[in-house]
Amino acid sequence: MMSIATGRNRARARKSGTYALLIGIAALFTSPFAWLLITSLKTERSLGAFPVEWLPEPFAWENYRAALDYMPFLGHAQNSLVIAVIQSTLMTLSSAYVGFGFARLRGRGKNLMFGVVMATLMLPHVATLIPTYLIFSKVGLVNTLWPWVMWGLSGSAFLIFMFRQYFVGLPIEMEEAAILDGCGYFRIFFKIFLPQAKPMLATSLILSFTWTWSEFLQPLLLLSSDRTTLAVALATGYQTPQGAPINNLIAAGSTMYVLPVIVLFVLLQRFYQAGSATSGLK
Amino acid sequence: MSVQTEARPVAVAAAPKPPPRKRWSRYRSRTFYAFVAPWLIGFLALTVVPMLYALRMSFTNTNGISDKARWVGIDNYVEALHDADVLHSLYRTGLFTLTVVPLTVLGSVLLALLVNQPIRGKGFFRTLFYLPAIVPGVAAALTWKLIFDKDAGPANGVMELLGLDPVTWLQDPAVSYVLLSLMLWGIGGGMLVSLAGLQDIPKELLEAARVDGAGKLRVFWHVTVPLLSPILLFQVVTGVINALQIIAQPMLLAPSAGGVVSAAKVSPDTNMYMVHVYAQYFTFGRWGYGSALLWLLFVVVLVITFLVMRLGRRVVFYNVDPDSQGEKG
Amino acid sequence: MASTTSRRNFLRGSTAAALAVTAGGALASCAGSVNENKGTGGGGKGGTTTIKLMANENEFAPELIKAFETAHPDIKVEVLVYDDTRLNAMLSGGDAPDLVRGTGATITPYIAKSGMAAPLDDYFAKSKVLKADDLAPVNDVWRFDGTKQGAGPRYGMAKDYSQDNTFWYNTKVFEAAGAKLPSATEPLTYDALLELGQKLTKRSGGKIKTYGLDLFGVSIFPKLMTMVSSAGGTVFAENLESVDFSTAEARDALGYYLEFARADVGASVIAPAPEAGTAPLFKADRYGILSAGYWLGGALYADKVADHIGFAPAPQFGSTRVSPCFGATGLWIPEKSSHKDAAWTFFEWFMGGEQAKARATSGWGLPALKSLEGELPSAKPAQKQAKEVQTAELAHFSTLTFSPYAKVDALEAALQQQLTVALKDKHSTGKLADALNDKVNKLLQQGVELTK
Repeated sequence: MMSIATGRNRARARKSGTYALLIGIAALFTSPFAWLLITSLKTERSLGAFPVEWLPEPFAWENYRAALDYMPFLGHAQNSLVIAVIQSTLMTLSSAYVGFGFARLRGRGKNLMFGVVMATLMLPHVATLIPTYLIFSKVGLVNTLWPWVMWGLSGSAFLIFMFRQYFVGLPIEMEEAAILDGCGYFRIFFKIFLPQAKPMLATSLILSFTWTWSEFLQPLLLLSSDRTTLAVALATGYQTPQGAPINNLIAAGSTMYVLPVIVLFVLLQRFYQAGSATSGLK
Repeated sequence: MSVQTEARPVAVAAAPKPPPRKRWSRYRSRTFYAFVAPWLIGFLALTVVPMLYALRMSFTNTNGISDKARWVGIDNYVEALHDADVLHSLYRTGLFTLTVVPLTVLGSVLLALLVNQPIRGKGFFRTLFYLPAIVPGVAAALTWKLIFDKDAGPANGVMELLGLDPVTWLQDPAVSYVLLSLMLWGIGGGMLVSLAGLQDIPKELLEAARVDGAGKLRVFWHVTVPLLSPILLFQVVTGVINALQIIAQPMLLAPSAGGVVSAAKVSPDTNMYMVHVYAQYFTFGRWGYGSALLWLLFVVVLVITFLVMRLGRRVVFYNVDPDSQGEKG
Repeated sequence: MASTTSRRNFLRGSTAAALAVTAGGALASCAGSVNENKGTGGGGKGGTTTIKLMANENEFAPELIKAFETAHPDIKVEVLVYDDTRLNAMLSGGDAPDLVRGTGATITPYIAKSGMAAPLDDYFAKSKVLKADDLAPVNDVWRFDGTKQGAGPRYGMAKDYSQDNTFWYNTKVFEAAGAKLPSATEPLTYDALLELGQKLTKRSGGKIKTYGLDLFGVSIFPKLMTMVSSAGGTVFAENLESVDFSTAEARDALGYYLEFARADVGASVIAPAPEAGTAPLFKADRYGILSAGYWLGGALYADKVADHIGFAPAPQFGSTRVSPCFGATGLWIPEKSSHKDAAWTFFEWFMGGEQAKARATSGWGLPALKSLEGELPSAKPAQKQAKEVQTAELAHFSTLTFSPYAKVDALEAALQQQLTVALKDKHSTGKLADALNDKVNKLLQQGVELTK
């Protein structure tokens, strides 16, 4: 009796220990969001208060209005949106298309090419971005949307890999039947495989949209400050004429910038998980 | 992950073979090229050509504007290897990589283990832990700047409550830790990948081990870790390569007076390699020298990538189970 | 506009529209060159001319542009946000802007030597508004003869200016520390200034409650040049193709900076000012001395701090009084502009007449026209005191010469990086001078090679 009771107690103690740990980490992980929100509601006086004012009093909701007006927030948001929609749509279609090729077709050099895809997965854009930018500026593509169209059209190594894994797993019969009916591979892809891949398409769209919405160096280099995206404008736009950052507006602007991404995530969580799980990165 | 590449062609090989074979295979190979063309063209135009362009510039003294640039041979490379600032930034980048990669990989696995337990509300916690990973880098860095503000930030507020002296967080040497904590905030992404790996481990395997009398730790070490190794390797490699190229976060944490995001304002302790390269181009107008520095990094990354792809096959344990392939997705 | 419509289409999700958007975007990027009648230059010939003015955000208020367009209905002004990369792209792409903002004190050699800027002497000679004998000495910084600033063709003009090495002090902070107020006529030495800074600095725990002295601000390079010049030396070689920081004068100046930074009495490269700058702290009586030009008064007079401030002459490092201007912000006209006459019309309108007068009376800087020198505000005691000191300081105005072979931003960045390293690793002044010579001369050498 005794030992069972202590055993149960120990299990219960361990469980509450786990919960305490989880809640502790959760508090740590969410506190930055809380501080962002708090700062966004501070008045200018409260910002400069010393020692730190933990809760703004009163809530300066008008900061959100001011953040929209102090710089052309909505204009920059539109730029972000246009760029993100263009790049994510093109990138998704192109990656699915290329992924299908790697999954279902054969040709000389395929293994080598796929090896290169995998290698570029490890070569993120940052290092090649500077010379790419220099070329774009030579040929007059700075301040246009073409760079994002081109990046979109050439697909993303990660998404190509993801689609390839998905298409490899689909049964052969789907293809066979269509071929016997006289379908070419283009029709097979567009009419049969692509519609099958709806969950993957959604995952890819969401992921690439989020990536593009978050891009910083690309717009910083490629777009001038009145045409740039929200990411850059947030870091550079909320300044006094003397060049001092206006922290409550930066916080309010950041909140509005982050919100769409979080809402998208909370609503479409399962697709994010699909992105991590089905990519089969193992 | 490369092994799957090797293992998967089975499915492709089993594709339909309607007659006549020769024409069909020619058709299929032509079609293959048509399908991979967008990627191939993009790869050549947007990766290979820029890299070669940088290579060419690295042997000149160009500033990108003047038409009087000339060849300088390997001068830029020689200078780079003797430049105290370059060596310093290399040292800081190495130190950062060696700290941030183990911490994030270990952290993400531990977090994954924690939320993989059969407890109530684990979905909620997973969501919460993952959330920071999707916050755009700019917003995260700006938030960090608010938190670690010398006067108005809660970090010093807490110090004050504890009766400690305030710290100038965004300066050397504290700024290194601030940068580190910023990176750790985003380990939810790694957690999700590790979680997917954990859930792929067959339950029977774990139970069998336990029935054999292995303790929890032993099971973890001898069953879980080997099965997780491909994922761990992937995280380490991408972690290393990303850490070597870190640039935006140090720049955003630096003083931004005048609304200019400038690489030259980054303090020495977080003056990472790419930050230094960026400054050569955009602060000093030394495109040739910057290109040489860039190529040194390319070589390092290419070598690492190559080694990993070679080594990965031998060191890491892969669960190649043809039967389980179909159900994935 | 076409691009907006196609943008909307695209949001419905078709790829075709995506291409249309980008076409729209590409079109929009060269939309500037649509309604121009090439080659006619100045206004007239029936149509209107659109000039492109490149300036910092908020530098030219929409009301101001509207006022000009009302006065000159044949000229339209399109304001673009200044951006180095964009300027270069426009100049090399045959789509040059017609007017560009710039800090004449530091950029004139560069824009002149590279052929970017058009000489404006013919325009000045003909102008009835901007007469040569009415131009204040500061406008000489916009001249460059190939080896020296202050002589040669004029490439632009200052809208207003300050002698930026002067300083403002907060008498409340002085009283609290029991320190003597600076003289209004006799310049302090740098050593006395540092001593004063130490006296004014109040510490408690690990924190500085009151800072003594913000001496170098954000631009250290021109300040060091001023110190070296006061001691009778120069930083740049005569041909402006190299620097030498290992001369006795330059080493003294560098040594002074290291000593100043180590004293920890105010903003330096190892203890940067808060992002909001030091002026808010000065207003809150938490800064004793702020090195800044007359213009800062514009930000102080309206504040409650105005009843306990003073303005003092530029400190003296060596044997001569040197009191230069580091900005002289104004406008220049690119050589490749295709509407120089119209650009000059705006230039004249903005630099002279009503606009110049309005600026002079605001207290945000000194007028660049001699005829307006009496217009400085003097209603408040602080304004009166500042006006007196400033009027006497004018006699010591001096023009520094910068190098055409590197941008001052690059020199500044190199200097600050090396200062930081020297302070962190406790290098000697000699080692710092060597490192600086190495870094800065590499920049200059590249500039020389690419210019000649």
